[in-house]
Amino acid sequence: MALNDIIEKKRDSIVEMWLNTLFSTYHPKTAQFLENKRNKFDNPVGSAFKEAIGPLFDEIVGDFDQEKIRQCLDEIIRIRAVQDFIPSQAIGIFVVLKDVVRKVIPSKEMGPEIYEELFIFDAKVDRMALMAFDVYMACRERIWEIKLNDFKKRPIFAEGQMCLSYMLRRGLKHRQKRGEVEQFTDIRPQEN
Amino acid sequence: MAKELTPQETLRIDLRPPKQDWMDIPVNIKEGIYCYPAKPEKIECVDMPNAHKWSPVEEDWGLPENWKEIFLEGFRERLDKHRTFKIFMDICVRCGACADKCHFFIGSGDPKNMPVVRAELLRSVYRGEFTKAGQILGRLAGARKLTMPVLKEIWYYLFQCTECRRCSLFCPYGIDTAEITILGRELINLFGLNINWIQEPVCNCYNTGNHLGLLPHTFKQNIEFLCDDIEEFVGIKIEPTFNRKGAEILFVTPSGDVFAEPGIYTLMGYLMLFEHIGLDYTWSTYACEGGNFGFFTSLEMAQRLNAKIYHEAERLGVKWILGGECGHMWRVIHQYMNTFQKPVDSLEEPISPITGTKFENAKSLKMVHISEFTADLIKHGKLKLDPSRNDHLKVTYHDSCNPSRGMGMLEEPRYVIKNVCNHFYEMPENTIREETFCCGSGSGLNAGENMELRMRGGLPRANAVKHVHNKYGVNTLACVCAIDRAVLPASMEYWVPGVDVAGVSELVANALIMEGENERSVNLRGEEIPGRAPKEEEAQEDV
Repeated sequence: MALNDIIEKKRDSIVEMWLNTLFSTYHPKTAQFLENKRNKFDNPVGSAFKEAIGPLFDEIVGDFDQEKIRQCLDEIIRIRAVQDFIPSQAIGIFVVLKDVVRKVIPSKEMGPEIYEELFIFDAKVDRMALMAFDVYMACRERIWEIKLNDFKKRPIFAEGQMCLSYMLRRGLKHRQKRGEVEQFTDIRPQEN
Repeated sequence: MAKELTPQETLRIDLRPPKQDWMDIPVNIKEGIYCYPAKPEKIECVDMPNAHKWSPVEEDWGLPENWKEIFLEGFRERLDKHRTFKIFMDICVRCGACADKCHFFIGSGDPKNMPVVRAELLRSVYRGEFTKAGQILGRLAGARKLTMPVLKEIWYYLFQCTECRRCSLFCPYGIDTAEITILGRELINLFGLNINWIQEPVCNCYNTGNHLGLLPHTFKQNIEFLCDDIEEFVGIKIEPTFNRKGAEILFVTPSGDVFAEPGIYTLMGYLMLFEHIGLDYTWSTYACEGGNFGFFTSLEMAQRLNAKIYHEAERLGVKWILGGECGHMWRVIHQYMNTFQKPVDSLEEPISPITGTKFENAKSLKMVHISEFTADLIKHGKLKLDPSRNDHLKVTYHDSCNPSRGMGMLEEPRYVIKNVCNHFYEMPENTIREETFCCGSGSGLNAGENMELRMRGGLPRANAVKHVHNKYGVNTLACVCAIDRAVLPASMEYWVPGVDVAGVSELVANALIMEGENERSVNLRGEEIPGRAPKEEEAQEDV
C-alpha cells in the first residue's frame, strides 16, 4: 500500500496524537484545560491549536500550499512565541510529526516499498519546520518592533522629568503656522 | 565515543514540562515578563522604606537582613487590619472555579497564573507561618515557610496579576484575588521591591500632581496644543479655562489623555463636547491626574495621591466633579474616594446643568463619569450629531475591567457609541460586560519591557476582537480607559492587525455638529474621513 493511503486511513489518529503531543508540552493541569474547555473564547489557545493542526496536516500530505501552511503555523506559533518556551520547544512540535506518524502506522506497514514516499514525507515535514522557524522569527521580531514603537511613542523618562518633545513638536507646527516661531529646523529624523 | 542515536531517537524532542507539584517547581524569572525595579530615588521621594538598587535576575536582591521579620510582621498587621484578607487566606477550598478565568493563565498556560495558585503562593506562607495546622502538618496542609526563593516567586507573580477581578466573579465565596495582590504588593513594598513603572508615576504624581510629571504650564500648554489641532481639523476655536474659581464643574481625567496617543484624541473629544453644550467647567493643573498608581503600591499611597481631587474641588468652589475616561481611576473613586477622604461639604449632589438630571448614584461621591454624563445628554436630545461621519468605522466595545466590574457601568458607553456610530458589533457575551477580559496590562503593568507578558495577558481579549474583526470587519476597538488606550494598540498590532483603538469621547466628537465648524473632512486625528474629501479637491479631480 502506498504511504499516502496508509496515512489517509490513519489520518484522525495521527492528528489526534500530534495534537496531544502539542498539549503535552504544557503542564498537565494546563493541558487538561486546553484539551477539554470547549468554548473558543474561554479557551483561545486550545481552540486555535485544535482548529489549525488538522488542516495543517492535510496540507502537508495533500497539496502543500505554502500560504495555507504558513497561516496554520501562524495560528499556533504566534501564541507559543510569547509563552514560556525556548525556541526549539516552541517549534519542535512540528518536527515531532515524523515521530508521530511512525508511532501511529504499524511497523509491518513501514516496509522498504514506502521508503521513498516516507523520504518525501519527511522532507515536507522538514520544509514545514523551516517555515515554522520563519514564522517564529517573524513573531519575535514583531514583538521587538512593537516594543520599540511603544518606547518611541511614550514619553521618555530622563532624570525624573518627561521628555516633552512629542507634544512640543505638535505645538510647534501650529506656532509656525501662526508665525509665532520663525527660525526653527527640526534636524531629527522624521517618521514617514 | 558519543552514543549513536537511532533515527527515532533523533526525532524525539523532549517537549514535556516538569510534572511536579507547583511548590516544587522553582521560579524562573524571565526577561520580557517582569518590569524593571523601582529606582531608589523614586522610592525615597515618597518616604517609602528600603530604597535600593537591585535586579530581579540576580541572586542577591539586596534586602535588609531582617526582611523575613518585616514581611511577616507586615503580613500579621494586614491580617488584623483587613478582615477580608484574613477571610481570603482561610476560606478558599481550592474548587478551581477561578482557575481558568484569568487572562494570564489562558494566555500563558502557566499554572501559577491560575488565580487560585497565585493566591496560594501567599496563602501557603500564611499557613506555614501563622496557622497551627500548617506548622504541624507542613506540606500536607499546603503550608510552607517563607524563604528567599518563595519571596522571589511571590514577587514575580504579584506582577502577573492586573487586579482585574475577573476571577472573583466566578468564585463561589467571592474571594477577591485582586485584594490579595494589592496587599501582597504592599508587603513587598516594605523592602523596596516595587517596579519602576509604578513607582516613578507615584513619585511624579506626588511632586507635580500627575503621573507624567508634567508641570502646570506644560499641562496647560499641551491642552492648548490640542485646541490648536481642533481649530485646524474642525475650524472652531476653543479656549478652556484652568484653575478657575467659581466654575460649576471641575473636570478630572487621567494625564495619559494629555500626552499620549490615542488618548489625546479622547481629550479633544472632551473639549469639543463641553464647548458644544457650553458647560461651565474648569481644568485644574493641581488635580491634574485622575489615575492613581498609588493604588498599585499601597492603599495608603492611593489615599495620599487621591486627596487632591476633593481639595481642589473645595478650593475652586465647584459644585461637583466630572471625571474622564479611565479604568482604575474609577475603581479608586467609586469604591474608595469618599472613605479615603472626608467628603467635602461645599460639594453638591451632581445635577447636569444642561438636562437637569440628578445623578443620584453620585449623591455621596459628588463625581460623575463622562459616559454617564454624555449618555444623559444624548437621551435628552442635547447633542447635534451626525453619526454618518463614523460610517467608515465598524466599532466594538471593550468593557474596561474597573468601570464594568468595579462600578457596574455597562450600558452608558454602549448607548453613547450606538448614537454616534452606525456600525456597532458586540464581542461574544463571555468576553464582555461583567465577564470582560482585561487588556492584559492594567495595574501598572503597562510598561514596554514586559511586552511578552502583555501579549500573553492580552490574548483572550484580542481573540474576541479577532472574532468580530473576521466576522463583521470590525476596525475600531472603543474603550473608556486610558491604560486600554495606551496598551491595546500594541496588543492589536500583534494579534489583530487592522484594528485601531479609540476612546468613546473621540467617537462622540467626530460625530458632533459644532456651531461654526468647517466641512469636517478630517477626523480628530487629522485623517481624511472616507467620502468626505473637501469640495475643491473633488472639483479639481473632476477636471
